[in-house]
Amino acid sequence: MLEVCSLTKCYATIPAVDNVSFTIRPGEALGYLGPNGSGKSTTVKIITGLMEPSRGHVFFNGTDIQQDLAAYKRLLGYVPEEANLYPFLSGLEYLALVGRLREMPDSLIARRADAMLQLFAMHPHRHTAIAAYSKGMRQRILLIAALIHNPQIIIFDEPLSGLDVTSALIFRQLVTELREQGKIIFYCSHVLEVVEKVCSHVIILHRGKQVAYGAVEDLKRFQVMPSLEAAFSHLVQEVDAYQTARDIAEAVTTL
Amino acid sequence: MKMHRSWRSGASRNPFWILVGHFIQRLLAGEDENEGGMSIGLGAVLAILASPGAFASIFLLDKYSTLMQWFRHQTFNSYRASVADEYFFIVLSMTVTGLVMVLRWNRLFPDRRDYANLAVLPIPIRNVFLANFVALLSLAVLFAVDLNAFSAFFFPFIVTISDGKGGSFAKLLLMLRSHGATVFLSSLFSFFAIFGLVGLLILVVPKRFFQPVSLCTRILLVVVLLTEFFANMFLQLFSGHLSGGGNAYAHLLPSFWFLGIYETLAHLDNPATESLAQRALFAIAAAIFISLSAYALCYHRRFVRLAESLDVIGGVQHRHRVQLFNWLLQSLFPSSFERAAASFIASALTRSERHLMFLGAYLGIGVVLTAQTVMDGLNARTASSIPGPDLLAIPLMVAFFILTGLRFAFDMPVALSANWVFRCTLDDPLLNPRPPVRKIMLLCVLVWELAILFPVMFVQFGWQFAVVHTATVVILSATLVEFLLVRFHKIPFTCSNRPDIRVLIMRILGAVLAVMILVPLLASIEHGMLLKPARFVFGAFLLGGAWYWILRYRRGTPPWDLRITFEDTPPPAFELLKLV
Repeated sequence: MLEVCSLTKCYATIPAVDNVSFTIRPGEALGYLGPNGSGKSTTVKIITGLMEPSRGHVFFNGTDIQQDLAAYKRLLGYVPEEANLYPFLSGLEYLALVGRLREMPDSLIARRADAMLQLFAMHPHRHTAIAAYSKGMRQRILLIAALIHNPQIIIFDEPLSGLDVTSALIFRQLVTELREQGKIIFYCSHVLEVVEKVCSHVIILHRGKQVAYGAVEDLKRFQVMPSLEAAFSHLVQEVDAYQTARDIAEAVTTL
Repeated sequence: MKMHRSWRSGASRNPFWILVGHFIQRLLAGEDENEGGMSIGLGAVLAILASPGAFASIFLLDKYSTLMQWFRHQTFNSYRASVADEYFFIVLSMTVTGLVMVLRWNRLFPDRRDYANLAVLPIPIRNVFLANFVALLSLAVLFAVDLNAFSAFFFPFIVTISDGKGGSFAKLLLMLRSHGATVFLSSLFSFFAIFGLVGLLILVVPKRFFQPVSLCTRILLVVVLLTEFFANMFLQLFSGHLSGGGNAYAHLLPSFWFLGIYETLAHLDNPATESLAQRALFAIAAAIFISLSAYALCYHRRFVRLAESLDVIGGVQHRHRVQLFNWLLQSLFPSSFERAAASFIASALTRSERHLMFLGAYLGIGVVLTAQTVMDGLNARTASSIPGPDLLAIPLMVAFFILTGLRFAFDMPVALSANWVFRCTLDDPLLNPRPPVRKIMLLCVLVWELAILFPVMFVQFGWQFAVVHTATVVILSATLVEFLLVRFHKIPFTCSNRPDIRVLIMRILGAVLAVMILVPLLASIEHGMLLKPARFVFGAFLLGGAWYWILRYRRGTPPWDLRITFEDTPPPAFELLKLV
């Protein structure tokens, strides 16, 4: 179980994340939502162990992750928002590097990489340099790298960015399957429809503060809204989206 | 054997050594992310690095061969004579190591990409930093050994056998030790000095200014390294007075300090160089201390905090455009196409590392040749009211290097993603791309020709000479610009094909040869005209001929050849399928 208690992170004196708490049990997927600058990425960095919180703790199975970060990272799979991979490696070489640094046996790396490259339709491109990959291809390599060691906790930060329709559909189903296998899934995204479909619980952040937390259906029911998008807009939207769109269109034609 | 195998197997599984291997691969990989190429093979790099030392050693056979000495009726103390050649090997070691470091400048320290990929893995972050240092040091040692591998044996050998009297095995060992230690320490000094410099820049320079400061430092280093190398190789600005030193400034050069190590180890009994040897050892110690301290501080202050800095970057950057600049832009480049092209050229030239590094290296050669011309001109200076051809050639030489350097750089494409806008938006295929290019090239020379050359000439030689000489330089620069743009039908940097490196080297060699022949010739003609103004008619005739050829060539160009090209080599009209 992943437990986040009163998490706060301040830059200088400004809190980027302010007193956020949540729990993810095995088999649960938590959707983490919020507008730009609401503190989503900071939370992700703290729960991946890349950054220490100013206050609060992250516990995994009752142990603070900072006590043995390496052991925690062994159980963690992380798909970052930006696929900042090494362009001089091929997809297969990148997976081998990640697998070896995770101290996986070479034979296991080869078996899993081969199978997953096939399933993600990357097998024909496995020897091509990553520099030549499209954004979607890089994203698929990141997904494979995050799953290759069979992690217990999986953190997705905007995983659909650049994925084509088929891959996105596969990915959505994959999250459901991983949940059924008992994985702990933290899903940070702007795509509300996907979060609504694949996550069991959701947190909405606004200016670093947690403004809603609960099961997706409970949240909709509580806010008396037909969809998660409507509930989200109601909680955090500060501008009239339709009016802003009209203003932009007008500026394009008249200014 | 079994133990060795188990150690190898353990090392290949140990994450630390996997990281070291990864960082070595990263250091050898191509700099350009868009090129999609894999890393350069280590073997190829080692072969390239080993060749200068090997060739230099072979060329020295001519000097040290006893047979050649007999033919020339020469006798000299080969150990004493070896000092000048040792200096060449020291400079070679320092230059090549330095250039490798400058070329890999952005890869010397772990960066955001390393952090993004490796920090989430179950390895301590300090190991990432340590592995990078081990990789770097291993490569530096390997390159230092490789660079000097051939000369380390061959040079001491030919020096020892050339000495008929004292040539013994003990002497050979002494020479081997002296030469090997000197060139190896020179390479290491170059490595640590530049490594420390990068670390200090990261620590000291504010993040906002880091990129431009780092780029300027790299260019400056390329110019300094090449200047020192070519100065030693061709011009012998300093090496005429090596040991004991007639040139006080020469002793400020680190390369001379290492000569002190050589002379001390080879027992050449030169007390003047002992202090230089001490200075060299102190310099190495200081470079190692500074680089290691800077590296450790970078780890604590920058690398472990990268995750936080990733969140706070991207703040608002205030850029105020000066109104005067806008007005100048509008006046010089009246059409929107010209303004767009000029802005694109200026941005690419000032921001593209590859182009700036190339220009820095090319202008470095120009600095050396110009410095030599300045020295020749000052030595040959007379009381005449008209300067000699050497001094007259200086501005021409500077203009020549700037203009040809720009022309070569224009042929080097920037990232393809940067030039799509021209391909998408230009609907007139016969649009002439030359005017904005011509204006930018002229701006690069006219500004200093009018703002520096004219006042200097005016103060030194009077207004009449200043006007005539500046006008001559301006007209010749303009003519050169037209020559360089004769077959230029593209927007600079938008071509998709990279120039073949062999073609580029041939062009650069051609340009350097041209400057060595053409510029002195033009300067002599100008000198002759200044002595007898009637000869200006001859000069005007020559110039008229050149312009007539340019205009005639342009008129003769068919319209389809005037289209803006984006592909340097158009697809062939037909190609063989080679089915059999």
